[in-house]
Amino acid sequence: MKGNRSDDERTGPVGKVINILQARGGGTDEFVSRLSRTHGAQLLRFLERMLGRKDLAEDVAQEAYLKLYRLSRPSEVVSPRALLFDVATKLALDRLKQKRAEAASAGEPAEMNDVPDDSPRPDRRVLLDEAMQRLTRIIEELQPSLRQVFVMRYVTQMPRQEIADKLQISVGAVEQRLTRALTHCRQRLAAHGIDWIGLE
Amino acid sequence: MSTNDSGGAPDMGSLADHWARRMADSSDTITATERDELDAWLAASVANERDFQRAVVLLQMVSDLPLAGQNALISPTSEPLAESDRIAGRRNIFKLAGLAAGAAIALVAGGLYLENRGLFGETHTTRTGEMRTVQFNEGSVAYLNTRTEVRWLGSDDDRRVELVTGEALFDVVHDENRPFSVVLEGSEIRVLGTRFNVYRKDGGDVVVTVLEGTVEVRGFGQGASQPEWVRRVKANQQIQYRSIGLVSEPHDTDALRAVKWRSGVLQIPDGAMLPEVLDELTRYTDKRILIRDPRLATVNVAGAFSTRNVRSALQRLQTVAPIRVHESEDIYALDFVPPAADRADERPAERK
Repeated sequence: MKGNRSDDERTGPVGKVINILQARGGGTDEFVSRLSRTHGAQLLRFLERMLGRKDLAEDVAQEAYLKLYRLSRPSEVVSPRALLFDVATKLALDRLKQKRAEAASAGEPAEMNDVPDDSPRPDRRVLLDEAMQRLTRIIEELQPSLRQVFVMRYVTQMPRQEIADKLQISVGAVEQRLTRALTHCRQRLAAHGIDWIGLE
Repeated sequence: MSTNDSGGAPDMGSLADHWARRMADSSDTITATERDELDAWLAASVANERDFQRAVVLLQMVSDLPLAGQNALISPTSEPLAESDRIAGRRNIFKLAGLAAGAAIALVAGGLYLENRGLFGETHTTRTGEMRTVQFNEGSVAYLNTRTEVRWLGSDDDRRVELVTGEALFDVVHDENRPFSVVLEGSEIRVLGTRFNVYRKDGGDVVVTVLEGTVEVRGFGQGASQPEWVRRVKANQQIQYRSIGLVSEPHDTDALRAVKWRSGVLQIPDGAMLPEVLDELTRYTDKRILIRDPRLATVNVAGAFSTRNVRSALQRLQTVAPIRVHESEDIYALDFVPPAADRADERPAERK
């Protein structure tokens, strides 16, 4: 774990990874660096919110980029940011688990819980592709009032307050609809037998 | 694969999605308490962790939908929307009045609108005080009351109209092969051919009154594909429900009274309290109607009031209840006038 760090969130962890992996060729480093340029700041914010500490967030982000760097055919990734967040979330969940274990038995080395993986592992890329296609349909089929807010927020990236103002509903109501819409989409995807995590 | 989720109140979506959304939306801060809650929830089960991870990834997928997928959800902004002129006009009115604007307006105002047909349906709206008759292609008619929005969502196989907001009376042409339904958030009213009124109140209650034939009302839980409850409502019956379930079972009613609005009359039954009456009247004016004195909350009023002229309706109220109406540019303020001079102005209004 690091103490002080540069203020530049974008280049922090990514820069290190790029340095480490400079020697490697292929499209992978371009893939990783583009991913970090476009979604790195967002990922760090997400991780920091989840983990509560900036240095932990950076560690996890760095680890995630390293994992992605081992990807064999990055050009075939359907949703790079989904992949990035998938990998990073799994790592962050592991960190939280580790922290809990450490707190439970102070001093003893953390014991990683093994997460039983009951799902078969067919070609994840194909699954993600299918999930993306299915997702469009699922959003289309959402209840209109949920769909509208969901599309405004996550497809058109409109801020919550703006949506609330436009629809003359409270931000809380916007958030509730977003959560419900997300629940619905997730359950529908699962109902189609599609799993879209564990992509690495 | 977990399709059944742990946690979450029935209408709130599940906790996995709540947390994923909270973590992804970074415009406000996460408190330490909240983070502890998340941690405890994650620690509770492996399924929670997985659902959370899935929800996180799903959110990223949405933002990363391929262009073709996104276009299916948002239309380009070049084609004029049939209703756009009227909607733009209405928007100004709403802006001036600071009142609730419908969905279509909001999207236009955002420099973006969703397809007129198709995904977001063909939209018909009325502004405050306006009434309108809409005939759909297949022949059925909807009479829209004030501040109402309906959208046609039907296809060749079915006829579906969403009541986005407000109140409408539907006259449905019989067609066995294409069932007609009115859909609302979390419920659906199915018919073959009939005449019925649906009033979606601002507070969330829905009142369905059947004038002819029978309708089937189905209430859905969050994201459910199977209805949680189903009720048949016959002619001269009424049902009232909200998202959490039924408020009243189907019961006999004077169905014609429910559609008095079509002749511009608000019929108030005996025993109604002033706030209920004002909740109705306020639908017909862009001015806000304020009760300035808590004593007015329990005043009884009855009678028939014009909805075409809210000012005169309020003036009439003054003659049947201890009320004084003060009108200013954007509000009607109602003060309490003691019946006799015994306690006049002895105490100021308790809440401003």
